[in-house]
Amino acid sequence: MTLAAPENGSALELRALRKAFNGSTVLNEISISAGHGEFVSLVGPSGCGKTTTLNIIAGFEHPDSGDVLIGGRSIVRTPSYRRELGMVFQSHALFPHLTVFDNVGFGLAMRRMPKAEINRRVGAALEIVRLSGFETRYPRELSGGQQQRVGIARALTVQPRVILMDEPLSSLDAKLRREMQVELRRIQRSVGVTAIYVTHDQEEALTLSDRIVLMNKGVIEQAGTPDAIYSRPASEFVAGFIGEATFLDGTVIEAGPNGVSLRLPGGCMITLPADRRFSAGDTLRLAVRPDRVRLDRQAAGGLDTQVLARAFVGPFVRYVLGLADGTELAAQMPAGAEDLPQEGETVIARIKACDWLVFDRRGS
Amino acid sequence: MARLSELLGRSVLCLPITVLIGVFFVVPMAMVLSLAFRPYDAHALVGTEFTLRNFTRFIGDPNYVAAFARTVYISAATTVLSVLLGYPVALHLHRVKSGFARLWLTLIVLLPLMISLVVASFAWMLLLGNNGVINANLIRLGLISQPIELMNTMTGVIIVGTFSSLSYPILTIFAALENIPADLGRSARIHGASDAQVFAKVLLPLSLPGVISGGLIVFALNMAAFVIPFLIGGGRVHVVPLMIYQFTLQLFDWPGAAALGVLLFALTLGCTALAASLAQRRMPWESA
Ligand SMILES: Nc1ncnc2c1ncn2[C@@H]1O[C@H](COP(=O)(O)OP(=O)(O)O)[C@@H](O)[C@H]1O
Ligand SMILES: [Mg+2]
Repeated sequence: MTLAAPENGSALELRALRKAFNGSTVLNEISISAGHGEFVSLVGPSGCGKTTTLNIIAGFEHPDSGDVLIGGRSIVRTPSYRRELGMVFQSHALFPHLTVFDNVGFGLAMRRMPKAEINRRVGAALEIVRLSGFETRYPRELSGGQQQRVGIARALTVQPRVILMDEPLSSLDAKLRREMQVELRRIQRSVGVTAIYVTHDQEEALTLSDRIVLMNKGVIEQAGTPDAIYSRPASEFVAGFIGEATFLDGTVIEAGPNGVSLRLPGGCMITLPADRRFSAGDTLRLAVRPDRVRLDRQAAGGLDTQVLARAFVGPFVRYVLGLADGTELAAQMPAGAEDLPQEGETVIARIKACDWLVFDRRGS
Repeated sequence: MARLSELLGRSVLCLPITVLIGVFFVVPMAMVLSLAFRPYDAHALVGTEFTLRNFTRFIGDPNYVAAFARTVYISAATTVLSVLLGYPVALHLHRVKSGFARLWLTLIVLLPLMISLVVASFAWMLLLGNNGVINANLIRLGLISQPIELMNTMTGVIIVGTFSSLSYPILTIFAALENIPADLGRSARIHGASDAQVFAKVLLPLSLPGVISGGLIVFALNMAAFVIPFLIGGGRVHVVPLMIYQFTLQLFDWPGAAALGVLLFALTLGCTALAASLAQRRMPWESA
């Protein structure tokens, strides 16, 4: 007996995947679901299990337990070649002995599709990746960026139910990588294919994704939209991994209905919105994004700091500020702003109460 | 590879080896070459004047032409058989994951190269003879009533040649397979290729360079093979190296032997170049 898959269910669903290599757990209860046409990134430090997760979806590895569903149907027992997936590899993995045309049409030829249909689909895919006219070239005659476009076209021609990408851009140089990010997003949108994208580059994940799944040591730290993960990180790890942040320890002086007063290193006081979890004497882990730190000279009510270093980085000027006890705080100002503080100057760092990210320390 | 040869090219290390090759290879070869253009002289053995007669007498004689054809045929058959038999072994070796098993398998593959051809041929005589292990068992099983002639036949020479050459294609094909990035197989599979298709469309074409180089080694070795045709052929399988032996040590016709050697070398080189260029044409992705 089979249950009909719900029409508007997930395109891909991972249920409690576990995987261990030689007794060491690499994936621990990984559950992810991706809606139709959604672009989901798996992000995390090297070795956290991203590739293993992708390999299980692809069928190159088998989970110790858990399930993989595509369109509502379990595929863990389906061999890779019948899973109807497309995949883009970091190494490009183009067939060196086949022309661009035959590379792109590979999946269709394997399915013994009629010549005319192959011609049509390969032509369409090459048009999407803007490589029309390159049909008769061999991979080694293409640049790295072009090779990766061929890789994308090859994955698209099979009209996959999900397209898997394992750090597809990390072998390209920085400028080309940014161009290709835009390209990838455009292609994925225009085709409407569900994409699972693996990267260790948090910036890339923020740029590309509808949703980010942040992994660490085989577990999911947080899953959510780029905005949610960036502005409301669930843990200290997430705040440190996605975007930049300065971490500080604060001691709760007073906690009441009007707010929580904390003392920061160096003696500055701040007040955060009321929170019942905290009481006087607690030590809290705090974080603040550099772009949420405003610098000015006159007004009181912020943190007294000294500019330790500043660096011009294109559209921004980065600051390293020192609190009274030497604790460092990163800040960022638009490069065009007037009267930017100089090195050695004393400035007030102003941070809105709602811009502090607060992590309860007691648990960990 | 290019860098290595560049490095060696500049290095003084290559000076001794150049001298060594010069003295012990180029000089004797040049002497053989010059011998081939001298007449045979019954008294002095080697005459002094220049002649092409050594070549014309072989090229014009159907017996000698047949011997050359036989040599090429035996070598080609041996090559094809050893590549066909060696490929599955190489593929298996490639698929073995455990390093320990690989080491042992590699040693087993290398074994034929460690045993003297004379000893190996003797062992094969015990197998192939009319009363040998193979015929005796076939008769006992009732599959044949008369023994199959294997000793003193081309078939026997090809069989033994194949097994003694098998190591080369196994090693070159194994190396070619190991050089294929694992991602290519995965990428083929995920895009719809079954195991058989992955093999036919990706592994096989990409391992062709290993097939070609292994095949060429086997061909060249068997064109020049002496021990196996001598012992297994028992004097009835006339191949060119056997004739060179006769000319040198029985007839003392050194110019004739030299001319046969030059012709054999030219033929080997020609066949090899032809095969390599045909292969090159079949692999347009390889040419730069
Ligand atoms: N085939 C394997 N055998 C043993 N360990 C493996 C294997 N594949 C991956 N691992 C281990 O699993 C962990 C996760 O690897 P991986 O999924 O490749 O991480 P990521 O892609 O996030 O960098 C790593 O510690 C890695 O060493
Ligand atoms: Mg990885």
